[in-house]
Amino acid sequence: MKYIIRIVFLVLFFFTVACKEKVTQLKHGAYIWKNDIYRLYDEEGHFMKTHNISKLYVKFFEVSLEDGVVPIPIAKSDLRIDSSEVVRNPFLSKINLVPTIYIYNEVFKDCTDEDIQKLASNIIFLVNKRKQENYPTSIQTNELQIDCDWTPSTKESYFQFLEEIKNYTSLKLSCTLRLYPYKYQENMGIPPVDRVNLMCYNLISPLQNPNKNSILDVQELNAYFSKHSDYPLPMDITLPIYNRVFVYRDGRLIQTMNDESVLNETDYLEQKSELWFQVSHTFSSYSDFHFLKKGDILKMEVVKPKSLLAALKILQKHIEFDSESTISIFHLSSETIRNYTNDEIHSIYTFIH
Amino acid sequence: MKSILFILLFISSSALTTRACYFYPYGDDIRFTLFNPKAVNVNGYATFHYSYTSFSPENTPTEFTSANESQLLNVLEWQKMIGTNVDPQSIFDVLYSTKSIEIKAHSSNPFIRYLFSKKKSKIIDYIRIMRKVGSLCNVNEDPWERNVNANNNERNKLINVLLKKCHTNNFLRKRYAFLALKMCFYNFNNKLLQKIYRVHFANSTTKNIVDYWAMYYYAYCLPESVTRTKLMTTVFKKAKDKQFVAYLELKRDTLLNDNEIKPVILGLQNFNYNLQNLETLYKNKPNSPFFSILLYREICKVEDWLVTPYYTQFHTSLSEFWDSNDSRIRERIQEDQDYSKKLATFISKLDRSKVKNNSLLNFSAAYLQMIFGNSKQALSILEQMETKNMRYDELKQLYQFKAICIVKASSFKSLTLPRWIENLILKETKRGKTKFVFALARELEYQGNKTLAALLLSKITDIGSFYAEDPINNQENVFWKSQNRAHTLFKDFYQDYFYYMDASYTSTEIKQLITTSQTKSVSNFQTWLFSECLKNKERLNDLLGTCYMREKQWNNALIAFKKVSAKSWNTWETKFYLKANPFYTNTYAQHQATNADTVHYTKAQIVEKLIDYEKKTKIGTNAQKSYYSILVANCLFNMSTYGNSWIMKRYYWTLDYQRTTYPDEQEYYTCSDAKKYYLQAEQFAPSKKIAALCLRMAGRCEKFNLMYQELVKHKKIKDRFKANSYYKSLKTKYSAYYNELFSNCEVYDQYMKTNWK
Repeated sequence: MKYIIRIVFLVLFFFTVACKEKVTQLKHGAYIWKNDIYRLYDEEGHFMKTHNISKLYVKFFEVSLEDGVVPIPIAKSDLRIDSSEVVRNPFLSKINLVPTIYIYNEVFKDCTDEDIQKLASNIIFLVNKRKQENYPTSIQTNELQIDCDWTPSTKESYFQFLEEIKNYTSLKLSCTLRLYPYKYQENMGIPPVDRVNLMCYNLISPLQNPNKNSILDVQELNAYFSKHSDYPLPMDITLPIYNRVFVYRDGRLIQTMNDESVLNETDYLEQKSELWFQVSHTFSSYSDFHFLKKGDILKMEVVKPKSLLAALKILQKHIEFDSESTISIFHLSSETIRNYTNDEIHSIYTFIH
Repeated sequence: MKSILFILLFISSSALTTRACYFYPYGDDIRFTLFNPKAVNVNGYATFHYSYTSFSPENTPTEFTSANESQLLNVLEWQKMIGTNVDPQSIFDVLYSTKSIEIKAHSSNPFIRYLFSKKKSKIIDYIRIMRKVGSLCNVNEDPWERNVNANNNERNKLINVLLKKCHTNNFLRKRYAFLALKMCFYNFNNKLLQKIYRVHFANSTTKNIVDYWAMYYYAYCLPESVTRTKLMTTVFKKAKDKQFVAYLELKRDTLLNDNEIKPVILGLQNFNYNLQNLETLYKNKPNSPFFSILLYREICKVEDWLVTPYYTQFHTSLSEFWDSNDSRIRERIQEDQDYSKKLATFISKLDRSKVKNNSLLNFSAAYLQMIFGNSKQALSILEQMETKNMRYDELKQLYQFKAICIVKASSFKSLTLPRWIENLILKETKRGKTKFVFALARELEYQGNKTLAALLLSKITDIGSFYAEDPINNQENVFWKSQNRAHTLFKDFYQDYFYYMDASYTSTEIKQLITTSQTKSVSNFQTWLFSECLKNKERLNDLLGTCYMREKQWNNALIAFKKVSAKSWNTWETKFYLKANPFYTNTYAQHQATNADTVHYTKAQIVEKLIDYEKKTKIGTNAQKSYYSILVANCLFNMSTYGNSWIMKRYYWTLDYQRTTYPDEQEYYTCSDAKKYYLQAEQFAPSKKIAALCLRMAGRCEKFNLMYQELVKHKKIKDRFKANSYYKSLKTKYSAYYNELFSNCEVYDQYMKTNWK
């Protein structure tokens, strides 16, 4: 009898280990968030192929209020992938395209059942239309993602909208989740979706703390995981790989650059502290059409691979992944991926295994 | 007190960035303009008026009162066709108003009623269709893209209907054809558009405004060619409402050799000196209506380049991002002045009978003289042009310019201005014409009459307006910098008199203002003028006291602070910042709360105690002298940027060093006075232990002095601690206490528990 019990335990142990191994293989994803690209650049295609990207979240459009009343789509993406491109790059046919719609929170303030119904119907109509017009049938779509920074006051309408949208599509529904609603589930509620994508960036206001990197501060991230919180939905995660430079002149913010190449101009810049630089001589940076004057102060926010790995360590410790879980980067563009080597990106995608 | 600590820490941590969150004026916000287009008959060309945004396209007017020239021409055509007994406004409403109009016999619109009464069914038909076409010319189609083709189909149907109706009389034929052509434009049906144009408009011998509208759409769809340029040039000349869009289509390299339009287009495209094009246009066509607009633009440019910096100390509206380098700006101001003189000479030589805009020429000549500082010449021109039959807008402009010239030329030292100028100030302030009153105030300030200047500023700016997002009473907003470029707030510019005086006025000047505003007024103007300062006399006394504190005139500061009622210290800022104990600090405390924060003084009480303690530093035993010297030193330290009572000397605190012109600038950052008293305390110290503590505290002040020296000399001190002579002296003289004084955080409190008798 003792043997039987031992064998049963042994079998159970192997199953547990095997299952655990299986669920922690994260799929690789990426977000495309730009409005002004019409096709994928070679570098972006190469990135997707090299890193075996299986989910591509593309922002199709945003929804805002026109004249503060009527919800309308804005910032529509013009990205197109032709069938000939899929023929040239067969890996594209293996990609699951996830149309992603960003909805401004105001849209859900003071809206009626009828408004919600109309909005859901309009969004699905436009998503289908754009998918049909801009992507070949060989690129599959199984999921639709809604991105909204909902608040307790809009929670009810937003969740009702998520329920409503299911009436118009057979696609799986996911939504983005910031760390605040992740931590404060009771107050913020659990959205009625199939899965959520935890967005691990922009944790603090860029202007709030001069000595912190507002895109990703590991200490700040860790604070959201102070207690172990089980989230009752399957979860994906997204990490930032973009950089940002704030330019201050005469004490005021005059420009935000999304390309930190200006910092290569070491002859003109003097580093004052970890994040802060001062322009020592007036110069023009033609690479990004910037004109910087002597005395200008630059705050450089660069997300280093070291910080990303530290963040992943925290996420691995606190989140339970399933077999569908995806790790994505925000966002894929020829400019952002230049900042990282292939090995660095590989180590980020494969850290959790 | 914990909340103080938190908020102070928050302020200190966000000091660098708070400014970034606030509005900073640029472009037309800072452009200082006094020259009104309505005064010089160029108002019909508002699109081409000079502004920071290059040009401001206008919307099609929908109210008769603001109808443009082309609309009026069209209305006139209708009136001619129908009969002059129908009023033009009702025709305009039918043609252009967005309001709903009933097309039936009992309509509220007289024009429609007239058409029904005269059984003009063909015209009624046309109006019905025309109003439908209007709704289909809306570019804003369904953003959800559900009905993209719906309007196209609708338009196609309508084009057929419209073309079938083109057989009617000539008046309606052209209009039906134009509507059909416009529908083709929105449907991208260029082929049909061209056909309609060729049939109905190309060979039209008597062209009216409808022909030119059709010409625009036709030319727009043509490829780049001489024909296209020729047609667009004609549209630019003939159809005022299409002038701006036609201008956008005319490229400088392909302009025709039209002796009028070529210099006009080149002139409008030129944001630099444009005298050459003005000369060419004058030579070719002196009576061109475009000459006035080009000349007005030129004067407005000069105004921006020279008047904006003169009155506001901001650089010109265009320079903000490109050349705000001070020396370059100075050089350019000289170049601009030289250019303006050439412009003035050009204007003086113009043949007025040819230009036919005397008002513009006179005002331009006078204004340029004002800009050069030749007020008497300017006045002489203005006086010559003053006639009884001047238009209202001309008169307003004339009086404004005259008032500025008189103030500039006369050096008024008292509070009285000529009665008519006082009346004008009252009127213009009421109308929100802040810039005019501001110009007068600035002139008075430059002449040294700072009291009257401040009184005028107090009437056009509110103390609170610095924090207001919207201008008060819909008045013009003025933003300005101080002449010495002081940076005393989180921004380096001002928009209310209180903080401006804080940055630029001495205690004597502020005292003078307070005294003046409390004297008996001798006129209604003075009653009005004093009212704002009178209302805010307590705040002004607070400002005066603060100034005296900076000037180390403690007794005078006490008198001023005592005039501030207890109620006034109840504002959140004062309640908040005066919660700390100003006579206590230790080896590390700066803004954070300490156990000694058990008192709550008013500013007057702080100064009173400070004076009392200072007296006690000179009497009694040596120990007592030493004790009070430490208390005085602590208070002086706390009134520096590093202490808990900086509000005694400043209205704004930041972690950064800000260059002000306050008399205590150096002391505020170096704590030199506090150091002096700590050293005095060392001299009278009752024990070596206390002497050592005093040297430690003096060394702390020296640390801040060294930091300041690094900052102003732009030279880093390699090891600030080693460079501190007081710390060195401490080690040599009192080595037994040295280690403890640098390692024990509570050392101050422990050492101070001594016998001070």
